[in-house]
Amino acid sequence: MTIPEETLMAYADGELDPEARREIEAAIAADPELAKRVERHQALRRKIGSEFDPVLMETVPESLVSAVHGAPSKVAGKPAHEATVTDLRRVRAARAAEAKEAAASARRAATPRGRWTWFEWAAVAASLAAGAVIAHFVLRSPDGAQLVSRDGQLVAQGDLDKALSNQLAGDRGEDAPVHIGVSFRSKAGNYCRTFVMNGSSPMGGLACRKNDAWAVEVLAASPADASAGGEYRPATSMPAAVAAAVEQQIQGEPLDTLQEAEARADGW
Amino acid sequence: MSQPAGEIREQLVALLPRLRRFARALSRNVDDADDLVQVAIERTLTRLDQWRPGTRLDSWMFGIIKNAWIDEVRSRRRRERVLAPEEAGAQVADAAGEAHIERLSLAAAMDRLPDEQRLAVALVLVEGLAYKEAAEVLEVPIGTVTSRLARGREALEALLGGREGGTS
Repeated sequence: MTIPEETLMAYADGELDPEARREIEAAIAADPELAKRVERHQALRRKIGSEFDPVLMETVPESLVSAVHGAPSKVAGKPAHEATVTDLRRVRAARAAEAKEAAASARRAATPRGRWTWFEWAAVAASLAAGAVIAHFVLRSPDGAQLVSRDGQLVAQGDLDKALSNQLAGDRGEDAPVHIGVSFRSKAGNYCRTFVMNGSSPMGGLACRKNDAWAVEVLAASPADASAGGEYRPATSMPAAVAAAVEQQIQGEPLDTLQEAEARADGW
Repeated sequence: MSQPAGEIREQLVALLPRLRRFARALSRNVDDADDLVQVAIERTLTRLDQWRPGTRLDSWMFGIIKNAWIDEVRSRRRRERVLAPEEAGAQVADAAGEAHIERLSLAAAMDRLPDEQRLAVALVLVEGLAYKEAAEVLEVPIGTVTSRLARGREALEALLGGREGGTS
């Protein structure tokens, strides 16, 4: 029986209906060569995943986050056929200016004030604007991966999952692999918590409880502590992208210790 | 009723890592990829009223990034033709010769795929869309996506493994 490559590929991608799937499975069972071809399709998919998935853990440039919150620019409103070239050139020209502005606003944000007063550790450093890429920290953590991709969503596991489920905010064992910053109810009604994963390249993030797991919604390089070697630990600094996500998603005030303990007892 | 714009913006921020990943699969250069995402965001913000609640925001955004990328590729090719037609031809020949000798990295191999195959690979194999979803983003029939994906895979295998002509 000759099976077209496209059909084998669709089988490998889980695209066939049950009947066609059964036919292919019977053919594969009778022909190891077919099994090898299917495996090759799956192997390529895995290879592509391992090439591009680390992008998910890179720091999202601040300029993109602010673009989402910014007013639509005049250029973007032009007809598409003439907009693009102008767009990209303008974007590139603006990059340097934006980096400068981001650094300046990070300095401003470093002093908690106004609506940020509750956010006791909204220390935001300019290093975030520098956009250090730390993709491999999480993937190659000695304790095994702390994040997995499931249905297109990053989900906490290992130490991170344990800390999100069990650790109270502000529990700061000096050597704990994960510190929890603040816990709150989101506007969607579920519990969310910010965290910092310690290590040679600390990362901060926001995780929300979904389907009995902690879905990691934001992950960014944690700003390095400016006073390296001093008393102040980098574990307390939270990337601006995380702070912005908290501000958007929080419903009311963050949980106090008692509310947090109750939420934990209820399994979030 | 349309969703409040604030909610869509929140969802957009949450999508940024995936949008960057998709753009990176299209454009190997990190800055170019982020520029694509930025242009797509700006275009999106001007047409939030066109967003249909209940449809997938990720697919919608992928479509906008795709269009921005195609526009950019076209205008770049126009510029290259105007500026240095002969040099560009020489580069293509070099690239083809090189592919026979060395095994390419995956990113380099993706870079060599024809645009339409690269889009299919990026949507299905990088972003995990079903063929049907990818067909909607690309605005082509599902059979077209399937054959572009099959050809893209075959080309990648050939570029990566030095295999001659892929499968027999």
